[in-house]
Amino acid sequence: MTLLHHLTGAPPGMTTRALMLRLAGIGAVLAGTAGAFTYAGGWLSPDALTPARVVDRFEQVNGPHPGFRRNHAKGLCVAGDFASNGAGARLSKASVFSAGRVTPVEGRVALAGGQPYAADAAATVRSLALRFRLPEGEEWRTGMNNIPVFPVRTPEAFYEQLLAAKPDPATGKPDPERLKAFFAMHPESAKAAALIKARTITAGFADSTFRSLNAFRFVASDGRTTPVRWAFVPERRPEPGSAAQEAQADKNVLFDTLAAELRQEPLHWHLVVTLGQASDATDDATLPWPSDRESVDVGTLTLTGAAPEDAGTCRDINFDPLVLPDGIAPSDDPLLSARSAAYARSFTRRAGEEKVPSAVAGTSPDGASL
Amino acid sequence: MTDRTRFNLPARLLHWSMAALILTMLLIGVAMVTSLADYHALVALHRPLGLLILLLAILRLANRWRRPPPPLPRDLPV
Repeated sequence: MTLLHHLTGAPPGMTTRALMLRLAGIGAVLAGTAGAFTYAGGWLSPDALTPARVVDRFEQVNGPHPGFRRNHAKGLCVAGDFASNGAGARLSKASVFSAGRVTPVEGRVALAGGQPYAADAAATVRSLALRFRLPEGEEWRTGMNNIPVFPVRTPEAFYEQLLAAKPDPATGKPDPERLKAFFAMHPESAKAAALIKARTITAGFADSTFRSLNAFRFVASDGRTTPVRWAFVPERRPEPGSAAQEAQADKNVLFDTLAAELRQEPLHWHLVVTLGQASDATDDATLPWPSDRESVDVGTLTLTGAAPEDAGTCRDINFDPLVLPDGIAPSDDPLLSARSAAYARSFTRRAGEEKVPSAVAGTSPDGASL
Repeated sequence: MTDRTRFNLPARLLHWSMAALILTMLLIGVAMVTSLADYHALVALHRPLGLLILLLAILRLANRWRRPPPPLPRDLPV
């Protein structure tokens, strides 16, 4: 009986050799487990981009704004419903598209960027995020922008672009050299940026078209899938933005105008689904699909009211684009999983932070729109 | 005649399958929070596995209640 036998509590009859073999087996299992954890936790690839690093970069570029979303920080909650006309039912089995179905919707309009108090500017990307509440606890969440294509193809390019487009504190504009270097590395982003720059900027939220940008797949009841992109197209005729609007004293003019309009009457958008073909890229949101693709108007979104962000409204909704009902599935676009991951990280951080009221109250400071 | 000094076969099966599942869950968990590309797939795996473990835990309690485990070894301090 050796000291080893004594320490391990091995039966006295066991040979030292057998005992060593057993200990080696236990050691191998432990080492394998530790190795697997090291690999899975990313400690072997410290340069890989993680959700935390994406959110860190937003904080680095925008400064700390505790309690707010790290991107699309300035926003206003909206509510209404979606009335399906039944035309989408042949493409997707999601109940939201059944003929005559009216689905309650909560949402948020916002301006891109991580500055919750920045003054509204016409060229800032506008977003509309929606949560559809389907029967039996199903939900469909989607976040859309008023641009024709997304500026980057991959999460890594997104991360680089955030820093390259960071405004220089001295000039208030991004360093042109850094932007040029970024576009040289990412020609697809240079093309996308040109399309985004050439877009028509409308007067406000109410006459903006909001696009999914990422592709998804609609799954029909017979199992047939169709690659799709969708857009909410305003019923109101788009008006070009005016310079007079820019000069207004109200820093929240876009939001306050929308809130005032919603107090007057409901606003409508048509959900237009564009059907992709086999040759259309579903994994590259910088590429527009050919303009002759079939599109289907599947119903009408009606927004009936706006309210400031608060615990009871849209403040604590994570508009994760991969919260999808049965009948809508993700595409192979790498941005989708990355958005889901980064949004979750941003949500976790702000959930643990003290909240201050949003800059946007939905009422003009001079009270004129009340 | 059942062997009173051993856990019954269902208890042993539950024990080791749950050990493997819980280790897998921990691995998926650490990978999930650091991955952008696989985040969604890993979360989609994490959820049903967690429910499966809950279900097995309930089975485990039921089995323990029906077939009480053997007494602790005598040399184990209480």
